[in-house]
Amino acid sequence: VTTRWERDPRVVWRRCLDRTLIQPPGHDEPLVLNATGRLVWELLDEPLTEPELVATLADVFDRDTTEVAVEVTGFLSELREVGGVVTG
Amino acid sequence: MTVDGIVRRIASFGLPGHQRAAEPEGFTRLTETPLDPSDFDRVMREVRVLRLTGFLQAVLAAEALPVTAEQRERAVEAHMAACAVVLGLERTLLDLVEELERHGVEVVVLKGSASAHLLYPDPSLRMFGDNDLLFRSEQFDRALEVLAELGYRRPAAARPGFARRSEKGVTLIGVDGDEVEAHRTVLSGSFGRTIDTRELFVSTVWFRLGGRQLRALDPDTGLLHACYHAALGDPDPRLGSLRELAQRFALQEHDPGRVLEIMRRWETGVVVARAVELVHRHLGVAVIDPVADEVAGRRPTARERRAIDSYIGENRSHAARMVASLANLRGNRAPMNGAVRSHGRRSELPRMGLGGRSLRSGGRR
Repeated sequence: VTTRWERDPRVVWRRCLDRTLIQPPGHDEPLVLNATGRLVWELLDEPLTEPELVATLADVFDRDTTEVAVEVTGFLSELREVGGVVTG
Repeated sequence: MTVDGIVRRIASFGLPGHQRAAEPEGFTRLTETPLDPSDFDRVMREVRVLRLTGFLQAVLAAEALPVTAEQRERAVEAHMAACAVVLGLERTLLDLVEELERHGVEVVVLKGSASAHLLYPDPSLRMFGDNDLLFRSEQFDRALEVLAELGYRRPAAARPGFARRSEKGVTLIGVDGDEVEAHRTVLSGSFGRTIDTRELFVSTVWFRLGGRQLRALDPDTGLLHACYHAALGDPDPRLGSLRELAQRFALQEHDPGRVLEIMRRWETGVVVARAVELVHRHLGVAVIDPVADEVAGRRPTARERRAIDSYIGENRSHAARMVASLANLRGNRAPMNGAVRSHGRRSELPRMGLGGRSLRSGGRR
């Protein structure tokens, strides 16, 4: 629960209106984050715990935290798998 | 407003209001209704070629240009394609700098990524199509060797050491088709002769990219470099180059006193004057700055006119620049070379596809 997530500083990225493109080391092409993914990416400018991230997103989207938590867990896992984020 | 006018306004979008000559109250809507398909096609073509997709995104975000849903999506797709190129180039840049520094070669990043991260509030505004790297003259050959080991090749063969003596630099093509411009100075020809290249390395600044610190020109030499590029880079000034110069003036990070001192020493006042005048003429931006005040009304001498023509005139060529530069050589010992010139930039965009998979979060159920 106290694990903090943050962007891998080695990732290069750009905003593109409501999307964000990220290119972690070892990738030949960028990955596209949609509007929600983009928001997560922006929030991870500073290290956050998963509960902190969930609480913020639930508040922004006015959604149930349990529901949001499931999606955030999956998204962070996927982002870590591609080298977009690290935990500390 | 004409298509040309719209493109110019896109290129100048976001510049401080006090610098916009005709719009003291800020940026107004470019049109009241979406452009018709053919005009929008022309705008998109220009925006892509001139690498202004980031500024177009800013214009759309500010609702300064009404567009249809389809036009908006086309603009986004064009920007995403440009971003894909830029991100690929930045990944390459990080690898190149690491390898060059590992071999003891100092690297200063010119324009491109350095400008994007240092000059703009959001680097997504500034697109680019290659990596420009400046090396110390004495390390230039070593840098080319390292780049060659990494698979970078010149478009045409040249004798070893030839480029170091005669050119601003060389264009190299990587195995993936990416382009690196290796520079030993920031300008060739007459006006380049008076540049003290050692000074370019004296007070560089740093920018952060991909977890690394990379070097860039300081705001003073960077401003002069932007002037050279804006004034002498192309016969038809590129709006992106003019925007870059206007952006540097707007940031006001330079020291006007030092810029003027270097400008006099490098004898490039007429180039700065031309650059400022082009910014005003093409972007409608009045540059308010002591440097601009100093060069206002500066007209080229006959010799300077010939020198400028060697860059942008009808008979421009590397050889013409070399001939024009002879007049500037105090020792009359001009090297009898220069038949080989650096390869021109490729204009096509983009080279990388955007095949990345989409990461979804909020939309998943």
